[in-house]
Amino acid sequence: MSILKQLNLRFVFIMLAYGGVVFLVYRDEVLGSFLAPLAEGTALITSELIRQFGVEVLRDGAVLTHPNGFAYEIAYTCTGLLPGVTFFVCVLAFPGTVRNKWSGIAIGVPVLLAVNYLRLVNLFYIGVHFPGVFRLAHEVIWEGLLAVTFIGLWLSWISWSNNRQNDKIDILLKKGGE
Amino acid sequence: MKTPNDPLYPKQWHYFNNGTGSGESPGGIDLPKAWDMSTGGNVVVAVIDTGVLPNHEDITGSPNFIPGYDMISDAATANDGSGRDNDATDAGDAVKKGECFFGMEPDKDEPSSWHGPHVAGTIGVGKTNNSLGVAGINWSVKVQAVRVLGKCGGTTSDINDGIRWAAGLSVPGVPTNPTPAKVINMSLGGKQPCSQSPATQQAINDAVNAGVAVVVAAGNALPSEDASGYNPASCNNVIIVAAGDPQGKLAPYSNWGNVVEIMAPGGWTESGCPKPENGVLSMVQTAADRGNCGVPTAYAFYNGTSMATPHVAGVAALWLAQDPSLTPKTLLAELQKTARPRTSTECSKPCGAGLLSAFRGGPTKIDVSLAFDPDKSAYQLGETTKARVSVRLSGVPQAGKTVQFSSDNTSVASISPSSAVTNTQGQAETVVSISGMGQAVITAGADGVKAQKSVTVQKVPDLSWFAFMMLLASIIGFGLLRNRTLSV
Repeated sequence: MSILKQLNLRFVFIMLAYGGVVFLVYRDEVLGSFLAPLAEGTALITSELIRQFGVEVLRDGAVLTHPNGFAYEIAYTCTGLLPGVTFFVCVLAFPGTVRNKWSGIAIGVPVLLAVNYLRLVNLFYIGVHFPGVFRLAHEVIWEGLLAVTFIGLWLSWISWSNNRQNDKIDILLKKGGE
Repeated sequence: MKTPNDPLYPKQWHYFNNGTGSGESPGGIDLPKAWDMSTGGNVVVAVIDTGVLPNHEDITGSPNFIPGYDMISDAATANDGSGRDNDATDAGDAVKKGECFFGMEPDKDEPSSWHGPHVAGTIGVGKTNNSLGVAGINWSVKVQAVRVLGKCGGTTSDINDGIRWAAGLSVPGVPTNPTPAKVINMSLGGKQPCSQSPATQQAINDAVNAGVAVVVAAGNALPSEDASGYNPASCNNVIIVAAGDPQGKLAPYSNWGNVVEIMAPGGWTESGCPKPENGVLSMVQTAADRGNCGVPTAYAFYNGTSMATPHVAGVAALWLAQDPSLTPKTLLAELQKTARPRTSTECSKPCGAGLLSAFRGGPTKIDVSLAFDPDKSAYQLGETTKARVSVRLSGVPQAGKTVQFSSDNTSVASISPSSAVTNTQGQAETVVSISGMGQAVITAGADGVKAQKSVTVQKVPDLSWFAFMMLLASIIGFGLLRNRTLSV
């Protein structure tokens, strides 16, 4: 049996290949200028969301500033692009019907982006009111929450996709039995 | 870098490379750099002054000393028992109060100045690189003394004849100079404009027309004055020299003005020996009666535009040895082009094109190259790289060069140490520490030659989250898909 016919090894191979590409190209000198408009767009949406929560914010390009002096820059690494694309690849790499895969991506990627906006708004709020815990929130808490969201979405999709496929087989078997 | 082994050379700051580093002086004239190209050659320089001292320890047997002439007509002034003759030995010019006529009368008894030997020593009448005494500018120059000054000074007619004789022109009653000079040094003058001495101007014109460069002192005064009121400083066709102090600033006693062409080290020890090392060091018969200021008695630190002038004459001889096609006019243009411009702080009054520099550059210029190890298109925060400099002269590695390193943006890249000395491979290195985002230009300089290279620091995303997610997803996927195969 070919190694690539073993689904678990095939999955790991795809993940490794994708990971290698990310490590090679996901850097400032390659993608920095290309993704700068995305960073600015994210900053624009984030600033609007922050205002919806009644917090004052000034935007200059990708830099958001509060009148009290707190500011952060939304780099291209903060746009949610990488979690979104990674989820996309994880879903595509895992066995399932095309329809199930696109359904998972259509739901999972927007959810991840939404969580990322929640993260950005929350981090701004923390930076303004609790600057002492900003680093902890940025580097630990929200990284963990994003990871849990990611894994939760993906496992949910796997479960949903498998159940849907099994239901289909059951129906077919039943039909065949009649 | 070529430096002579004369033991008093380290005190001759006026010759040092211009700069503030080790072995450099802000008032120096870059001679070591110039000596790397050439230490001189057979060019005759006439020193129209008090004569020389053939038996001085640093002159005896020197091939740089050639016969001159004693042009002093008056035996009493000559102080050697005779009028004009072919012995240009400095017989001394000590005078007692009341000995001289009105206008030249000293306030008190004055010891001999040994002015001519001091001036000639700077040009290079003595042996340089002979492990004795002082160094001169042109190591192979031919210095010809034309004695015109003695007790109580000298006369304009003797000076004018001295100029003509030095240039190889005829002087009635005097044999023609068999070795005419290419450069005349006149560290002398009086307080009257040249317009009142048409004979002096004519003698100068004749010498210059004969292809001789005439270098003269701007004159000294306290407080200093416009050199246009001095003779021969205000004459046409001469190279007029003001004096600089060890900081490269116009010396307080130096005359100045629009007639001045260039400034050269004249020293400034203030008075007596409070700062002897700030004077110009050269040879005399004895300085015992003036104070030795910490050097052997046959040497002394002097100050004055008289001391500045032979620096220009010596450099002119150094260049003429390499390029005999230089004329008085092109020589002046080269001197002024190469001079280091002065700021209004350094020269509060006009001091010409700037401070004399003996280094003309040229094909054997020092080459400084800078490389990083490791060399990256972009560095990350916290990284370090070695900045390695290679110093070569005509392709030959230069050991012992002091290399200065700097960063134009220390918040991005800082340097430690900021200077290093080249090894036998001509290399020196320092460490560049990356501490901020952006770009910094690293500069390395040696002997006034610089090389630059920029450091770019870029954001590198933290991919630990991504790596974790990939690992987790792979483990989960691997487990879930265990024993399942692709149906074909």
